[in-house]
Amino acid sequence: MNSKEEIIQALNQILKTKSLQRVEFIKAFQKKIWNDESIQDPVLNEILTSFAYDLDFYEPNEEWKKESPSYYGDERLEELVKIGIQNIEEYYNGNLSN
Amino acid sequence: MFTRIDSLPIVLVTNGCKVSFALAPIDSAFAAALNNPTLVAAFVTGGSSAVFNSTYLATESMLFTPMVHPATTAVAKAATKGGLLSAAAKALSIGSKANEILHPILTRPIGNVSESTCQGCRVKPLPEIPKQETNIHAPKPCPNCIHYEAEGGDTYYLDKMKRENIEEVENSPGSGFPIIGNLIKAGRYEVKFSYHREARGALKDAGVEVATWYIGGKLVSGIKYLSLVSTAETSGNALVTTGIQWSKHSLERLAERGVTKAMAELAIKKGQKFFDPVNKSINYILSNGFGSGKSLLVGTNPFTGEVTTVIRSSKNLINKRFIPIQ
Repeated sequence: MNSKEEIIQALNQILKTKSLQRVEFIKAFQKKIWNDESIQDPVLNEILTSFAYDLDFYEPNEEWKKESPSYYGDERLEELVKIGIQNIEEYYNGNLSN
Repeated sequence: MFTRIDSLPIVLVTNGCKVSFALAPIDSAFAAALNNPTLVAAFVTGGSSAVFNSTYLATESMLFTPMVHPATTAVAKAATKGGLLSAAAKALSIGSKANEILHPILTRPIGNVSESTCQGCRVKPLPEIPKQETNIHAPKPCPNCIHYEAEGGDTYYLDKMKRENIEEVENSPGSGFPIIGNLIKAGRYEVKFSYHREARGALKDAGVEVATWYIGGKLVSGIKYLSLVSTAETSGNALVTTGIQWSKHSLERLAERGVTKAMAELAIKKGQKFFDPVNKSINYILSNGFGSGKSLLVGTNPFTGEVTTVIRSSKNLINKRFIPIQ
C-alpha cells in the first residue's frame, strides 16, 4: 500500500460497504498500515497510523458500543474516512508534507 | 412372677453402693461430648457402649469396676486431637470385651442377680428400697378374676405393664428435650424400671443426637467455609485474571491481534500513559514491548478503566495529539 490510489481505494471500500463487511475492510486496512514497513515517510506514516488508530473505535454493534464513550457508529466512521481521504490527498498534493 | 419385676430396681440399688460412681463416667462422657465435639465420634462408635457396659458391670460387682476407668480414659482421650481414632478403637475394644463379660450376666436369671447384695464392697450399701406397688404404674393383675387367663395371664400383664412404663418414660417431663431428654429417659429406664435395652437405646440415641448435632454443625460450618473459599477463589481469580475489565470489543481485538491479557496488563502497568481527547480514551503504550520490536497500545475507558481496545504495531503508536499523563 504505497500509492495514493491504493490507500484511497481501500478507504472508499470502507465507505461503500456496511456492517460486518465494513468491519472487515477496516481490519484489512489497519493491518496493512500497522505492519507495512515499506512506508518510509514519517508524516505519511503518522497520518495513516493515526487514522488506523481512530478507526479502531468503530463499533457497529449497538450494544457493544454502549460499553465506552470512545466507541462510535457508522455516521462518525464515514465522517472520519472522508476526513482521512482528504488528508491523504492533501499529503500527496504536498499540503501536509510538513 | 411380679416379684421379679419388682426386684429389678432393688437389684440395681442393692448393688448400688457403686451407683453414683458408675453413673459418673456417663455424665462426664456426655458432658465432655457436649463440650468437646471430637469426643462424639468415639462416643458413638464405641465409647458409649464401652462406658455403658463398664458402668453396668460396675454396678454388678466390684470385680468389673476397673473396666470403667479404661473406658472413660479411652473416651476422654478422644478429646485430644489425633487421639480420636485410637481412642475410638480402644473404646470399641473395651466395649466388645465388656459385652463379652456382660452377656452371661445379662442372660442369667434375674433372681440370682437380685440375691447379690454388694458382697466384698467396703462401701456401706444403700438401704434397700421397699417393694412398693408405686414403683409399677400398672393395674394389679387379678389371678382369681375370670378374665385373667383369657387375657393371657402373666405374660399379658407383664407386657401391658412394660408398655405403660415405657409410655410413662417417653411422655415424662424432660424426655422431649434435645439430647438431654434421651439421657433423662435412659436414667429413668435404668433406675426406675431396669429396662436395660431401652436405657441403652436412649443412651445411644443421645449419642447419635449429639453426633448429628455435631455433624450438622460441622456441615453448616463446612458449607460456610466452602462458601468463603468459593468467594475467596472468585475474588482471587478476579484479581488475577479479571482485575482489569474488558469490553467485548477489546476481547475481540485481543483475539484477532494475538495479544494476551497478560501482555495488555503489562502495558497498563509499565507503559506510558496518555489521554486521547478525540476518542476520549486513556491509552497505555508499551513501546517496543515485544521481542519483535513491536509496540502495544491499550486503550481504556477514562471513567471505568475498562479496556476498550488493543493495538499491536511495528509503527510508532504515540500520536501527537496524545496528552501525557504522569
